[in-house]
Amino acid sequence: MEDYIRVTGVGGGTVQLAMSENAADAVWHILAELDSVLAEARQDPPPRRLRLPDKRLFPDAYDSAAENAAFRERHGTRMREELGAALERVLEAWPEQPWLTLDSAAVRDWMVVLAHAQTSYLRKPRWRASVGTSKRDNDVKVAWLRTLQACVAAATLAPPGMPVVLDV
Amino acid sequence: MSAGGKWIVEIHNDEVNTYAGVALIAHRLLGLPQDQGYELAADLHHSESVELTPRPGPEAERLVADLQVFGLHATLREA
Repeated sequence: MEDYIRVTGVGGGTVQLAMSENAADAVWHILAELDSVLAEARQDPPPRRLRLPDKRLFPDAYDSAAENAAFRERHGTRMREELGAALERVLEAWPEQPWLTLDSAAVRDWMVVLAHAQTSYLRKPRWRASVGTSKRDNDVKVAWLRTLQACVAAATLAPPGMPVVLDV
Repeated sequence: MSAGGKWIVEIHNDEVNTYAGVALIAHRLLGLPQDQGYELAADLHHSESVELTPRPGPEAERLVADLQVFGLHATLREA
């Protein structure tokens, strides 16, 4: 049977997400892997080298190194916590059956998580990466995550009832 | 960042954020109507970056942080 992800807007920023079992399994494993990598920073003490340090997750906001350091000091913890909290909510709400309804807040969580989930599979920071330059398996995962994110976004903005389908 | 003055938030084009994704983020974070969100995404797709209306430093920083949490490449510079 063909694998698919179908996202349909129902209005008010809510979408319905339906996945084949294989597709749901693949998404789950990618997100669980991201959760495992992000959990490193919450260990006490954290490992000396995080696989996803802030500089891999978030670009420099300024040209100046000093201003960047100050920016990360002011906002870095909150930004990483928001990503972690969004991922936790997505995983906690994971359904037993491969379909679920995402309200406006859940759409936001999925958008955040699907963007950052790509980072582990790219050789360069995400904002400098070219598509198609990683190992083949990783390229497939990145392309998949990008397309799923685009489907969620397009369905959220589309008129209710218009499905956006990703054939896997 | 100096406390006074206005700062420009710049969103940079990249190869990983999609047209629909940028449009939705512009709609939700910047409060743009959907059609203007798509216009911003189109402008970004056809250029290196788009600049947002200058705003006070703390507000601009907060917006850049929020855009980056959504995965966009957003930066700041003094107006």
